[in-house]
Amino acid sequence: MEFNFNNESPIYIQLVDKLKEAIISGEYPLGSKIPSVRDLALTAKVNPNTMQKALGELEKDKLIYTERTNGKYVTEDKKLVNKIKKDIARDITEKYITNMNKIGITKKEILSYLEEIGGIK
Amino acid sequence: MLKKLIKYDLLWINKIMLIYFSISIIICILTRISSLNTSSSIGNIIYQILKGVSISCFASVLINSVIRVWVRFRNSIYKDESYLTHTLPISKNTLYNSKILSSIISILISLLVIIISFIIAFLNKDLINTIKIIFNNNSFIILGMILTVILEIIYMSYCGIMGILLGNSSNNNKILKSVFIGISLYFINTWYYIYNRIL
Amino acid sequence: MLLECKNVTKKFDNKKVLDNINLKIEKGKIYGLLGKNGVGKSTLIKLINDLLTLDEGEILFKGKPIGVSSKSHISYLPERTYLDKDMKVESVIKYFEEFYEDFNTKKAYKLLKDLDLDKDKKISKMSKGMQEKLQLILVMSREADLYILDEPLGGVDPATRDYILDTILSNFKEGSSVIISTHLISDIERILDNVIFIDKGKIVLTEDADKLREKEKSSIDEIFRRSFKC
Repeated sequence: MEFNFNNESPIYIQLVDKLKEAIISGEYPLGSKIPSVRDLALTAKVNPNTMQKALGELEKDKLIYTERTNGKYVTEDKKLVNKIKKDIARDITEKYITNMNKIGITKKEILSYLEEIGGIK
Repeated sequence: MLKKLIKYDLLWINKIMLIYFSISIIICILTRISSLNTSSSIGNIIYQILKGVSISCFASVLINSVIRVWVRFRNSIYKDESYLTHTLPISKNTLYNSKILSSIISILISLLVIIISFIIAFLNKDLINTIKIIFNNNSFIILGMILTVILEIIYMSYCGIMGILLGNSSNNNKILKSVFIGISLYFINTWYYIYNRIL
Repeated sequence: MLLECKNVTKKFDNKKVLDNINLKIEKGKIYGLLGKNGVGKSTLIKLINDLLTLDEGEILFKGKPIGVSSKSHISYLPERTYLDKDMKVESVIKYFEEFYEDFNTKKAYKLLKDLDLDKDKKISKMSKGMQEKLQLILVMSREADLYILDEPLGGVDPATRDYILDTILSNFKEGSSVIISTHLISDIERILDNVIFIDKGKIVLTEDADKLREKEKSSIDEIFRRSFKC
């Protein structure tokens, strides 16, 4: 898990986003065991406490769960993961549209960009 | 902890002293060898020269051991190394006791080397007999004199340490003040003692 | 409370270098002691490490005043080189092993290897950067309850800075705390749990790092610059 982040927003929130990405993209498959807090923190080069906080947030969202002595696992709830995926997709699209509008690009032009660069017809 | 501190002090002090010890012993061996050859005039001259050199070796060993003691004290208590010394898990008492003990041991080692060197260079039957005679009549006085010499050297080293201690408590001219205080302490006490004896 | 400073005041030549400092350091957290040069960071650190004496107030480590017992559980990395330069690397490691019960010799040699330092080399023959790395290794090889690092990133190239941060993160004992004092904030802020801003001998701010970022919507470095504009 490569991790580049900025110092301007809370680190744990950036970690949450990054971990969500990893779960949705399948990097951490459903039901799989995720590395220990300390190992994750070392890989991401962050403070273990910050990583713990981020994992706590994911647990609140039910994306991961803790099995007493075995460690932390990704949820097996496919529906939940898909919902989160959709939410993130919507979020990104909203930002995209807002940004395009900011520089004055019309809806038609957006479509032509999507076709030209994204191959989306 | 005390033993370990003393060990490291002694290692540092005697690492360089070993050089002076070796030179002293080698010169003394040469003196002894040359003393067997005093028949010729050149041989005699060489012997006399080496005699002088060996005496200066003794002085050098003594002076350098005291100086090494002073430098060790200053380096470990006041220079950059002090950051390590003062953050070791030891009490201040242990620290200063180790300095006192390691300085006494170092000076005694130097005196021992001087005696051994002297024996190598100069000891012969005549000298042994002379010593025996003097000792038989005045053993206590002789022992007292030897003890006084040893204590005097140790006292000198402590005046220097006291000078370093007091000199470093101010913010500038530390070395100058240390030297001044050290010398002053030594002489004031000596004169005070002499003054009292005279009166 | 791991470390507590209560009403700590320190004067040099009758001028207050530290003025009524109150600070609480908890277990298991990394603290950034941030401030400009000359504001009293090093003085506070020296007080905690028994290198200076307090004028007023008290400092308690695990409830007891600073002394022999606190020094055996605090691992301190000063700004300067404090090793006997005539020693070899091997000898210094032995020295630490002899005086510190919590020194992990195995870890020290492993870190030596990682950093490509030769154990037979004399310290005087090493470059300043290598000497600093060696000191960091010695300090982090102790299984201490509190690590205090005074400007660990000073005078080192960016690649080494990354390595130093990684070494700090991967080597401090679980449950231990770290206090990092520095003015190079942007390099270090990502690993901090809490930040302490100190200025002119007083504590200006103590806060959770992420909470502060959320509140001010900017990096700690930026917040610092804003707070202490000349």
